[in-house]
Amino acid sequence: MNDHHSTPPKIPKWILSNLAYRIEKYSLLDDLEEEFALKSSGQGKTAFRTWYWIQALRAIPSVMLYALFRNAVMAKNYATIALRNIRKHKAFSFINIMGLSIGISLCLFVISLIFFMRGSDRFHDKKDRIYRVISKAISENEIYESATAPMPLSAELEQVPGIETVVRIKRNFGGAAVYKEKGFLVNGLYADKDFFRVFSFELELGDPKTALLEPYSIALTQEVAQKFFGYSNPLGEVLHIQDVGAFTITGVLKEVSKLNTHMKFDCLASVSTLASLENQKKIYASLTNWKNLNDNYVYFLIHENASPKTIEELLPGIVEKHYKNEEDKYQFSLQALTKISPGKNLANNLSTMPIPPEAPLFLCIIALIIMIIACFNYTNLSLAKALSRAKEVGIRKTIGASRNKIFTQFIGESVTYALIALVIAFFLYKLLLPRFFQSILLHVGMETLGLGLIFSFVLFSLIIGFLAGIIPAILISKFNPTDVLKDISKTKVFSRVNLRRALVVTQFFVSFIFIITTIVLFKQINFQKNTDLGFQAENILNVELQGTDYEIFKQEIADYPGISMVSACAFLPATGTQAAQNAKRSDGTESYKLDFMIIDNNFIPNLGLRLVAGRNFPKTTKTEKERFVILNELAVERFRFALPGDAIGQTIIFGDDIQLEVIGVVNNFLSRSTENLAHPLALRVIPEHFGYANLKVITDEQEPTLLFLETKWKELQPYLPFRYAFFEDQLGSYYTGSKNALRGLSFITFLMILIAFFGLLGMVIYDMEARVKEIGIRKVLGASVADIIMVTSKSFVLLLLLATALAIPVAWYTNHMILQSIANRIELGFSIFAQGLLFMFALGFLIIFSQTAKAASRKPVDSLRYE
Amino acid sequence: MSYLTKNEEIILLSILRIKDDAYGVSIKNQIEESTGNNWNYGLLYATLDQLVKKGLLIKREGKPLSERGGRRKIYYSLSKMGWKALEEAHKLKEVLWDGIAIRSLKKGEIS
Repeated sequence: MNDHHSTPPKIPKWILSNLAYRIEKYSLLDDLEEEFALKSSGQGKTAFRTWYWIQALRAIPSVMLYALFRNAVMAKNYATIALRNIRKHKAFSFINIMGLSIGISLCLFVISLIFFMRGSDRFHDKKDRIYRVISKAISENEIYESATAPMPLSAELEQVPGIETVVRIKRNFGGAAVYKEKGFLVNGLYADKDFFRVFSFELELGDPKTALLEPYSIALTQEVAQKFFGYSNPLGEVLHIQDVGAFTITGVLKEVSKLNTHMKFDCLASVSTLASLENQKKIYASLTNWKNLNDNYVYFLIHENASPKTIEELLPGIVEKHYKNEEDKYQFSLQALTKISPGKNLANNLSTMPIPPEAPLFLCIIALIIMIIACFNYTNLSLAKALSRAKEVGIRKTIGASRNKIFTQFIGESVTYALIALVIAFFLYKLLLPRFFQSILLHVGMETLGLGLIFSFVLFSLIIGFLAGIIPAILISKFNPTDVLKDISKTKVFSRVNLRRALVVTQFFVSFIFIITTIVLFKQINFQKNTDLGFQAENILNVELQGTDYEIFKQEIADYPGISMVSACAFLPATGTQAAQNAKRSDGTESYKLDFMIIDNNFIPNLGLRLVAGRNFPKTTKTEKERFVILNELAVERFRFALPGDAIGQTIIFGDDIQLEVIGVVNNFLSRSTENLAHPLALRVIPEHFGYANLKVITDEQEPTLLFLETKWKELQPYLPFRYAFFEDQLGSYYTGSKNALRGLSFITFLMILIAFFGLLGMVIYDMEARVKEIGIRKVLGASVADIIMVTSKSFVLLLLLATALAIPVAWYTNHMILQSIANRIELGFSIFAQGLLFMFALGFLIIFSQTAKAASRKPVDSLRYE
Repeated sequence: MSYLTKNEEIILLSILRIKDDAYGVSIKNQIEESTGNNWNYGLLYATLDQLVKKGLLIKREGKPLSERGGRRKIYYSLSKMGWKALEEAHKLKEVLWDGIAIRSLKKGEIS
């Protein structure tokens, strides 16, 4: 092992030795090595390898600056030549720079996304010591993994050695907040008093130690505080939250919306408020309820040297103590704060969906593909152009330039291109891309253009310049001056035609796969939108009740002629929300986790659900006890009733003791989301949970109806905005997530195609220029325009055909795999490929034939005059 | 003649202090000892090179060393011009600082 000590790491040494010319290179490296050997003798080697790395990297900027300073004359010469070339070959330069800048701008976008995705919640000082408890409920046929944990767990955790502080958090705090004449809707969390001790959210006003101590205390974010109070001090003021209570403002948080965190909130209320709210039965019990896994979270801070593993090992013991008599199995585990996002997808996220851990990698791959394609253009065109540069190279070499010098010159040229492209790319990135990726950008702090980000942009484009230029630089610097100056046709570049063809084929290969994928996803999303929901969403207008009493609302509006029917439900079907509870037959022992929806007696006729057996709910009043349940056909099967009719009159027990009589059976319909198939489902009537009113409106009188509704709403709820949407749009807006992703993808595809066709255009233009004389002679000898177009286009058409032939199986396979993961999917049929082919060929042929036709129609006089 | 930059001055003075054994590592260590700054080799050699080009430093090669793969260490010493440049720098500083005491700087009352 001792021998190893004195060998410094190779990579930094190599980098440095390549950069440090015109300086005492060997002395520098030897000195570094000497010091390294001295330091590392007899001690662990990794530490000093790192030391070497750091030393080498620190030396780079000075070395490079110095080299640049010393080489200023030559660098200026290269830059002049590069700029002169750019000006001389306008079409090529345009194609090159546009291709590169489109590619780079997309990559800049991806880089900034990746910067963002590196992780949320990195700003907390104690981030490495914060964990949360996540839970798993395992029933016979379902595993329910959730980010939540029961609140009483915190008391148990406080006893555990190694845990410093436990913080309970509960979501779903909020509603209409009113102060004097102003009212806004706020969404927030309940948080324990030590919240500010564990998390590094800063208070601008108020004492972090006591802000969340007393019941009915609230801390507002700066944004919300400003809406209510402008710039005056809100501490001590009382804010009324409708249906919750009056809260005293005890703190104002510094800008929270700019922080990259998995918790999103407008305000924080003290957890100590919960006891009083539970007593008043305003919210579902959670403080001592071990079974509430809906909206409670337990976070804790461990001591500096405590091990999360030993704490995790204590959790099964706690489960055993409190879940002895449960049929379902419960498991708890720990999740580090830094692993929440990007992290695994759990049910009941605190407020935002975690970014899937694969996303950054996926984006990297996409960016890489685009960049390779853009680099290919440069490589390709430079190779094509190489001949015209051959003489310049020949003369430089005869005068005494070494191969290295020529190589450097050409790399320098491509780097110049890349840097020019970077400038354009930066504008595209700032101005154009945000329009296409708006939805994604909402979550990305684009304005935070840090130094690290800018540095990586420049570094990235330097690398791009290097990669794009390396093949031409190697080949061109190989030119033998005697060959080049004597007889140009002997040069090797002629035999590189195959390389160029391979590059074009690759470009179109990738483009075609992207085209097909885009078409498939477009069709898939359209298909999902039109899948049989099992209910009728047409002309249903959903109004968010926002705490308004449904009966009162209904009374106000039901008689309006533009509205034919009104019903209510707790949440809308097929929009991604679901609720479930354990249920079993009164005469059976097996219990199931059964999805349920809360509706009123008008819901079934209003949404066109079909009663297969039995009857609808009778009209009920709010005070009445819950008595009946309606099942769907799948639930009937699940409970092992032979026929729907057999279920009628039977009793189903929900939870521990809610006994409900089956009164009817409805058809299956999509309740969870449109991606999922229909699930076993129970329909129940619990009026206090109504969250939406569903209004069936008459088609041709929508405008006045909406106006009427809005005025009525303003009368009922002067402080709250009127929030409504047509159900069809909502079902669609459920897709907006995937729609936005699709929009992003189609934009990327568009750019990809643009780059590839730019490349093709460049190739054809060049080829036509090189063949001007050939075409002239052919014409003189009697060839018609059509003949010439045939001859000149043939090779390009063949390339296009080859690329698509290769791409079809790959595109089929990838899309097959994508579709496999979706339950309701389209057929990957012939027509999709036909569309893709048509598109690709139409564009390809247009480019090829337009250029060849232009060349073919030139008069031979012009092209042959100089001979 | 142009003035010495601060970095150049630091290097020249450090080489003076080391006397005969002034080469990369020893100069770097000397700088760290007297200024507390850990220079990187890039900056060190860029400045050394500049000083040699200006004629303020003279390079001298040592014996070939096996631990350097048979290459020679390069030792640096001040040329006559180097001495003169330092002298001038010192004189300049004296002129500039004449009549200003650090104590009066703190009080902000320069007479």
